[in-house]
Amino acid sequence: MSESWRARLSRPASAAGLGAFRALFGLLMCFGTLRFLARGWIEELYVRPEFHFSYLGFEWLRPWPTWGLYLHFALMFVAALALAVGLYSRLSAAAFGLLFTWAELFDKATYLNHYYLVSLLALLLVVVPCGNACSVDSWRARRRGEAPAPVAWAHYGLLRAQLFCVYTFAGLAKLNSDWLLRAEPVRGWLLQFADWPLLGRLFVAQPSAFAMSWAGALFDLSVVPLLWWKRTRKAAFALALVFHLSNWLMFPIGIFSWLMLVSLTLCWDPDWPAALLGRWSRVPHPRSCSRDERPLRERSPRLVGRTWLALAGAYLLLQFLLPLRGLLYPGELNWTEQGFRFAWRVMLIEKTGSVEYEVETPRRRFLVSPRDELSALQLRMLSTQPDMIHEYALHLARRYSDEGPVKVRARAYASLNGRPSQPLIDPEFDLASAPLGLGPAPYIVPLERPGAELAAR
Amino acid sequence: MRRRDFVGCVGVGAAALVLGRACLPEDTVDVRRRLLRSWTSELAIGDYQQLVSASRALGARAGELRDEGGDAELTAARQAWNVARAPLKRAELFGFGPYLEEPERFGPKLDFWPVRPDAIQAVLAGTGVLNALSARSLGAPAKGFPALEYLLWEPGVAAQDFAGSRRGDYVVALAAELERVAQALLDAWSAGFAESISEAGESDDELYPTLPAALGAMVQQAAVLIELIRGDKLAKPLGDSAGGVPQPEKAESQFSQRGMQDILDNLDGVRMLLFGAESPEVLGLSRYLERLKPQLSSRLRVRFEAATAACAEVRLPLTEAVVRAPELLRSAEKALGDLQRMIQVDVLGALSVSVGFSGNDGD
Repeated sequence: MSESWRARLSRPASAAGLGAFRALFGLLMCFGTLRFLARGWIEELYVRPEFHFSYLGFEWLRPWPTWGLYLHFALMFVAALALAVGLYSRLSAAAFGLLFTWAELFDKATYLNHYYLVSLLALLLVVVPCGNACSVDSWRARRRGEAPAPVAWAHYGLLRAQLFCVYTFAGLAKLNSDWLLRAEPVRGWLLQFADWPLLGRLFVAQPSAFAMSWAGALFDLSVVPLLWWKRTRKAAFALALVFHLSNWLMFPIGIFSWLMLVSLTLCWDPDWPAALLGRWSRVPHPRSCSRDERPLRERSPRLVGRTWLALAGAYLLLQFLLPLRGLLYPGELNWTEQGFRFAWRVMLIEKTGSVEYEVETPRRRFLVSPRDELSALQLRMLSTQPDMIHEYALHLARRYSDEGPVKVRARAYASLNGRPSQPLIDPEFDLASAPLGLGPAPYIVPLERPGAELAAR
Repeated sequence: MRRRDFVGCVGVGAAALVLGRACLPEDTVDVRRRLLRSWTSELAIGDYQQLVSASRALGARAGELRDEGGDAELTAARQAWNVARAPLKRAELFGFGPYLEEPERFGPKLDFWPVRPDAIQAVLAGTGVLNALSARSLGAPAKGFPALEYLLWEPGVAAQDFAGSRRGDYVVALAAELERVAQALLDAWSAGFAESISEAGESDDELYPTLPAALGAMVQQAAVLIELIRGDKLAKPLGDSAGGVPQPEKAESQFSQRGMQDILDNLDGVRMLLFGAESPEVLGLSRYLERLKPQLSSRLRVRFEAATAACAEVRLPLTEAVVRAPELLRSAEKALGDLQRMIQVDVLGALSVSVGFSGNDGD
């Protein structure tokens, strides 16, 4: 990288925007952790199920005993709170990120795109100086007589690039025939609101589904650049506000909308907290959040190191390549779901399924319902995701292995975006004979009607 | 636009959206809400009310049997058992919540099967007092419908064996306990559980966070019941997990030979949930489904009728059919499997409930 680029990326910027993001993110995570506890999800997702789905390579990671789980989430709350107030900010970010990610790795069935984003943002807060403003850390530094340290544009750039990845890949994923030519699954989702007064009729009208599908794709593809560009920033944020709040109002997607709105503040002018507080509250804004330091050009810039830039570049390259890995697999990605996770395929499909297993041992041949040992969430995820169907088949093979060689076949059917149900897994394929891996799954039955067809509804 | 104006506009917009969420859904017009209310009040509570009154009648017949010990009294008691059984089996669709979950867990107290004759014989051989009060402390295998069935239909037992005997006292005590548990189950539904389903999304009750989630869960219950019929009520007696050797002792209602009727009653409950009933108060899912996917609604009806017909085709008692007509049972199992799959995949898919369906956040 040339020195001019490095110098450009190292230009100092106000730490206030980053500090405000850290504080808001920490508060949101505090709320999210409390909500997780309050809704009894520890019991429902981790304690009650007798079986847990693993990520490849993390089979050794299992949920703690019940008391350990509660301790884990209590520590997660403390770390999020410390992050919010900026106490040992980067250490808190590391602790929160580790605890959060660890919990996510307990069970693949709980995977959510925004949980993945939380893990990544926590990681990024470790590698950027997120405690330089709006924090106990900066307050303590001032008390020690240390000058407030600015942050570099590269720090904002890294976080913005992460958001760019999220929205752009979410937008690209929507560029498929179902989304654009059939308005599915938006059409199906909107039908849920047919009984709403005033808006109900509007929602069920076919043009509405198309308009919302296309608008959603356009929004995802354009929002970050529009936010980045100063002239369109306000309009873009108003758009984002409408988009995310309407999603939050219409669908039970928890803190996802708020996480995105908080994250989008990173695209604002880094000095926005000072500007906002100065103009709207008429109260003196905290020194660390304000333009209280010398003008930027007078500050001595703290350049980001070559190593930091190299690692950031490698990280972004990975973030760019990871969502594209789905292209390496044969078949319709939304059907096979190979390369679906960690690829920002957000609110993209409506898929339902059912699965039961036929177990064959030298002594007997019988059906097994996974319902007996799985939670409702696990069962729902299992029924549509081939890799989980395979993993559970291997679990059944181990369970009956004392009866001799075991064959396990899956009777799995699924429906994608309103299509009639069809087999998802080859019913003759012995899943117990295939090891788990990252290669193309030979047992997935191709989607029978992948093209664009406007099914009569 | 000045910054102040911009923030003001955004604030007003956000407030309008938040207020909108509170104001927009109107229970009175939402067909899904009407469906849930109908299912909980007319199907679940309605059947449990019938169960309570039929259990009371069974108690009266049991008393007469103990007092008189005649063949007519035995026949009447058996008939009363059969009558009381029907609403329980129709309502098996609602075998969750207080039926299944601690601390109430009324299900096993009402219907623990396959019956364990040893547990019942142990009570018969005992010397302790047998009355409505002592029956409360009996374990699930020694009470409920299956235990009563065993006592009334046990091979080699005659009507006079009930007259003034411990067997007679046992039957009376179990009938009283049955009525008590049925009443408690009805009370649990009436006192708030039904409302936690029908008013989903309207309060902080987290059983079902949204109306679509509650609707999806209820429809899923139909598939769960059909899976239970296939796995427990058909596959086990057929001996699927025993190398294909028929296991008639694992059949439901094996002494009264009501096993297939139990299944048909189960399906009757599913029918009412899916298609409603003659009474205008009982609404069926098809009413909503027709609006979403009319073709699917009619295909569902065809598949349901096929499954019911396949079950009705089994005219032998279940314990005999597993030996003499297993192919009919296999055919019924297959038709039920097709129906289950259509409900789980196509119908739930049409309802578009997969986002956040579980209560956990979606996407």
